[in-house]
Parts: sequence; C-alpha cells; structure tokens
Amino acid sequence: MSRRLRLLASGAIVFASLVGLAAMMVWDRGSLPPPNVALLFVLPSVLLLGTDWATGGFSDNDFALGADIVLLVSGAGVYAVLLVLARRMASLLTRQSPRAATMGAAAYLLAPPVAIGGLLAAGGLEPFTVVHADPAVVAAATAGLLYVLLDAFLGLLARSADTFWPWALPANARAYGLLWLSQVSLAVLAELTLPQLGLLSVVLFSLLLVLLRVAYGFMRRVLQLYTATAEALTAALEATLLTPGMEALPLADAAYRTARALGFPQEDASLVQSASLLESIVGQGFPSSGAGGVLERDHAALVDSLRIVEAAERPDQEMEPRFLRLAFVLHATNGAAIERVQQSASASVTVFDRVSDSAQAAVKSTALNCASES
Amino acid sequence: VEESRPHPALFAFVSVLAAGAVLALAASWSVFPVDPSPTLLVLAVLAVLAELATLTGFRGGDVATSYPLTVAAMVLFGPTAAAVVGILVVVAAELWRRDPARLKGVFNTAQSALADLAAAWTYVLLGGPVVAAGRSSSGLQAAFDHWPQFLLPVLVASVVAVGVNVALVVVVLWLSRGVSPATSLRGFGLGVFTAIHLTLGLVGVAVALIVVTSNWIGLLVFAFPLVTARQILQNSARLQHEYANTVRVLVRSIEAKDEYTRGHSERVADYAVRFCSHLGLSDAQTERIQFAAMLHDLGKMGVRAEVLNKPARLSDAEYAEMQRHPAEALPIVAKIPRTEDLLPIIRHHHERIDGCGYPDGIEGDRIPYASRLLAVCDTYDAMTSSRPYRPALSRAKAVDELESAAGTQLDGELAAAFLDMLDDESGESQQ
Repeated sequence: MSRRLRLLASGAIVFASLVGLAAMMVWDRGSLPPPNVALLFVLPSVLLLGTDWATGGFSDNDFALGADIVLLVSGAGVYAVLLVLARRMASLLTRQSPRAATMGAAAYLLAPPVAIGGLLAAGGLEPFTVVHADPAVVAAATAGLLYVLLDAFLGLLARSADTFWPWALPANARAYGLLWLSQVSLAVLAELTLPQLGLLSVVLFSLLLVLLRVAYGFMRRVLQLYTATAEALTAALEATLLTPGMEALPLADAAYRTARALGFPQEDASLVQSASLLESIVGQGFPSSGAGGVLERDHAALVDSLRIVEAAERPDQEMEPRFLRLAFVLHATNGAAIERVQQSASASVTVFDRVSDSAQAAVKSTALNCASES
Repeated sequence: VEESRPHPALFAFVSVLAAGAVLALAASWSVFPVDPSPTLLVLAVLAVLAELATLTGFRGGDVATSYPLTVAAMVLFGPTAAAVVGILVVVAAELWRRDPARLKGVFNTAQSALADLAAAWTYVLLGGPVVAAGRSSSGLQAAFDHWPQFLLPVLVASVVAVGVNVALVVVVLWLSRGVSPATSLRGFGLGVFTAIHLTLGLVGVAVALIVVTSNWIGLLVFAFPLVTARQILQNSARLQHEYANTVRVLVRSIEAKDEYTRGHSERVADYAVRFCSHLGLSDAQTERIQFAAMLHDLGKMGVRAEVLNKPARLSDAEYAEMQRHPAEALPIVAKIPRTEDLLPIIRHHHERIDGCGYPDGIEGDRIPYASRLLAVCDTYDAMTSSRPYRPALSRAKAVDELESAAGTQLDGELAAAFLDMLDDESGESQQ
C-alpha cells in the first residue's frame, strides 16, 4: 500500500475520531463529555498515527484497545460503541484483503456488544460518568478480557479462511496477547485513577501508550534493518561466490512469505529467511572449511538458523518444536525433504504427530504459492 | 573491581566508601527513619524483581529497571527508604548472580547507597514533598497542582544519581584497571545514560502517583504495560546484537576470497569505535561510522582475486580496477534502508587530504569527516597486517609511517589524535 494511501487512511481515522467527538457532544442529551473521556477518545488516534506500518502488523486498533475499553466502561454506552466502530471501520481502509476486512468488520461489530454484555453483567454505568468504584474496575477488566478473547477468536477465524495451521497460533497469540493484556491493564488503570487524577490520568495513560508504541516501533525498525542488510549482503555474496542461477534470494524470500502467510510472527519468519540464505551458502560448500569455519557458532541468530537447517537435515535428533516447525516451513518452501522431515519426525514425539494431513497440505500449498510469486 | 589481588589503594577506597555509606545512612535515618509498611515492602520486592529483569544491551548499555521504584520510595517514604530499597536491590542481585567478587559486591552496595542518598537528599533540599513523612500537607495530588515544585527536584535528583554513580565507577576503574578518567567518561555514553535516568525518574513519579491513588493493586496493574515494553525492548536489543553479528559474519564471508585482508573490515571497525570514543563523538555517530567501516571494502568483491592477492606491484590496469572498489560498494549498501549517510563515507575513504586520492580526487575539508577518520583507521590496519607484496609492519614503524602521511595522505589532526589514542591505550595496558 502506498504511503499516500496510508496517510489518507490515517487521516480518515483522525477525522472519524473528531466526528465521533462532535457526535458525543450533540447526541448525549446536549451535554459535553468530560474532558478526560473526550481526550481518551481522540488521543489514541492522534498518538498512533502511522502505527500500522511502523510496528509491523500491529494496527492502531490493537494499540487503541485500552481507550476503547475505557470508553465502554465509562458508560458512553451505545454512543461510544458507535463511535469506536466509526474509527475502527475507517482503519479498515488500511487492510488489503477484502476477506480480512469483512471478517475484521464482523469482529468489530460483534466484540463491543459482547463486551458491553460483560460490562452490564459486572455492573453497568451511566453515560459519560467515570466512577471510582470497584464495579468500574471489575467492569473494565471483564469487558476488556471478553473483548480480547472474542477479537482473537474472530481473528483466528478470519485467518483460517485462507490457511489453518493450528500450531502457528501460540507464537502469534503471545505477541498479540502481551499487547492486548497491556491494553486491558491500561483500561483498568484508567478506571482506577481517572476519578482522582482526571486529566493527569489521561496524560499517564498516553505516556504508557506512547511507550508501548515506541517499543514496538523500535523492534520493527531493527527487524527491517536486519532483513534488508542480510538480503543486500547475501545478494552480494551470491553474485560473487555462489553458483550462478542458484536463486538463493527468491527462495529465502518465499520462505519468509510462507512463514508469514502461515501466521508465524515476523521474528520467526526472518529466522526462516536467514536459514534459507545460510543453507544456500553452506550448501555450496562455502567456504572450503565448512560452515563452522566462517559462521560463528556462538552467534545466537545464526545458531538458531543453523538449527533449522540441522533440524531439516537431521530430524531424528531432539529439537525444540519451534525449530522443527520452522524447518518444516523452510523445506516445504524449498520443495524438498518434506517427506523426510515428516517421516523422521513422526518416529520421535514431535509436533508433527499432531498435524493433520490437511494442515500439511495447506503448508505445501501456501509454500508453492509463495514460491511461484517469487 | 579486580578481586584476585586488589591493589591496596583500591581496597582502601572501597573501605572508605563503605564506611561513608554506613555513616550517611545512619545520619539520614536520624532525620527520616524508615517505618516499615506493606507498601514499602511491595515496592522493595518489585524493585528486586525489576533489577533481576534489567534491560541488557540496550543502546550499548544496561538500563536499571529498578530505578523508578527507588524514586517512588524516595517520593513516598524519603531518602533513607530509597537507600534501603537500593541496597536490598544490589544485595539481592549479587546473591542471584552468585558473583564471587566480594570487594565488587561491597563497592556496588556502597555506591548504590551513596548515590541514592545523594539524589534523595537533593530532592528533599529542593523542596520535593515526601508523602508519608507529612512534608506535603495535602498529599501528592496537591504537589501535582504545582508540578514544577515537584518534578524539578526529581529531575535534578536523577542527574545527581547519575553523577555520583559515574564518578565512583570512574575512580574504581582507574584504581583497579588503570583506565584514565577521560577514557572511562567517554565510554559511558553519558547523554543516553542521563536521558534514560531522567525518563525512569518520571516513571518513578508515576509509580508514586499510582501508589497514592490506587495502592499496590494499581501498582501491579501499572507494571504490566511496563513489563511488556521492557520485554519488547529486550527482544529488540537482542535482535540488534544479532544484526551486528550477522553483518560481521557476512562481511567475513565476503572477505574470505582475499586471504590477506580477511578480518580487515572487522579490525577497522574496532579501531573506528575506539577512535570515535577517543574523539568524544556521540553514540549515534559512532554507530554509523562503525557500520560504514564494516562495509567500506565491500566493493572489493568486484575486484578479481588475482588482483587482490597479487604478490607484486599492480599494473596500471590492475590499479584502476582496484580503484573502483569504493564506488562499487555503493549499489550494494544503497539497498539497505537508512544508509544514505553511509554512502559518501564509503565512497571517499580512499581520498587523500592533498587531493591525490581516488575515486574523485577531492581534497581537504571537502572529504567527509567520517571518511577522513575511517582513512586513518584503514591505513593503520593495512600497515600492521600482512599484504601479498609485503609483510606486516611493526607497530613503531607503522606509527612513523602514519606521522609522515599526516597532512598529505591523511588528515593531520585526526592522525595525531589516533596516535594519542594508541599512546593512551598502550599506557593503560601497561598499568
């Protein structure tokens, strides 16, 4: 997606926020929302501008979850739900796949009512009031957790429309879970402190939000740099040292995209990419002294990458399930040794025992698609 | 702190420091006695846990994640409580790491106590409120209504904490390893260190605020986003470390075709980092120059191995081929994002100050500063390592050659500064 389109989409998000704020003022019996509630509605949109492409897969919606929960629990009720929806629907402009957009919209439509249900069950609140009471805190936690669970479930269903690879879930769930639970914590914290601290609480909320955004953005930046540098240098290596026409880079690229398509987090996908490149280099017998001569075995990333290669080459030895899975992806991409991995892995107790035939076929199919696009 | 046979001066210094810490703590206790409370206990436990989860290798250093909790103890319970929390943190960390160096443990504990006491007393003397001691009649909220009265003391206190910590470490490094104070100070990255402490000091204020308004339950809730951010930053720091290693390994692979220059880029990068530190350049500048140094000879891939490894003088055609290498690196490096500023550094690293270099023949200040710096490191390493056409020069001979090249081939001031650095390092290693 072009930078211009992204900027337009971000502008739409901010615009929806401002329209939402105006709607709050007009529709709520002519009264103005408290400044802290109004700020909580607008601030995340402004603070998180550009989050989609700066944090690699984590959208502004993931970061604004805490503010949404506070709005729900603060009693903005149906209005808040509508306004949250307006902002979230606007952000769908940044989604590429119509199928993902549709499923995402369904998630956004269903999750808030369920969260509201949890909120009501835990003790509903009046519109635009923030009460420092235990029910508000409990409601924030309940609504937040329900929201997260339903969003995660629907997100999983959205992904399963294309590929369903159950063992890919935990890695993604960890990354998203940390962020989402942080958002629930932020919401609970806001409920705890808003009545006493007012705007100061919003400032605190925003600072933590920015801290999270900066941390995720920093990780994204390092990952991008890592991948691009490895690619550039390996291209140089390939040009001078490897057999002409070996196509190490397209293979590595396909491995990366296969892992991503299967739902692996970016970090693991980069690892597979790196492993693919290294395998190409090592597979060329370079250098003459073998991999151990030049590659540093005490270097964590390369050791991880080499483990993947080793897991693929010698699947009989005991390996962490994570590396076996990545090795599986690597070799599915390379279109070789998949049966060998499967057979040997099934001899020992590994995750492959629990992988259905249809799921394995899905990996092969995804790998083939990604490889053919390279 | 060297443990095997501590120097008498070092032993005396640490002893005096420990005695001073005990006396200072006793004096502080007489004014602000510590009244144990569940909240203080929770703060201390969280501080210990935070210390065990210290963010390591972030921007070249460690971030003391327990510091905000020490600041919160200072704001809520006063200087003595802050020092006690600090001491508990250090002792717990020493026990956890099972570091056998007892003198080092004593030093770390005394250093923490003195730094925390100095910072906390600065805070109090500047009018910062101490909530539990009744120094603030209407509590923390009132203090926030007049935030300059509150925030300024915390920020100044954080600067004092950094100052005391750094000063004590500089002295102990000088006594234990003979590292000159100037070298130690340059290696600290004081700017980043101070900025991190100022930020963590403000987080400490937020912790105090949460404790006052929401007690320790709020504190636990508040901790979750912070722990997440710490986890993400730790992962990023690890990735950055791995990134640097990957670049090193790939460059080493590329250099493998030239048996004489194998490891050259790594060594030049190492010289460049030390030289940048010696010149007092910022961490960001150092990082860029280090990266440029790693990649500066990438263009040699385009030079035939027989030319690179030729044991005799190069013909004109061969020399012309060799001269293309700075420019040939550029298309490769340009593919890496955010490397625009590296391209001129790499392109001009073979220019001469008198204008007789290549590829563009520019002279003097027209050559980028980083290229001139890199040229000094590159030349020194080239002279001190073997080449197909000559053996490695001795260090003394290389120093002579560097002196004679100053002002014609190399930037005179930078060459002199490089020689100063070698002298300094030589002196330190002898000590």
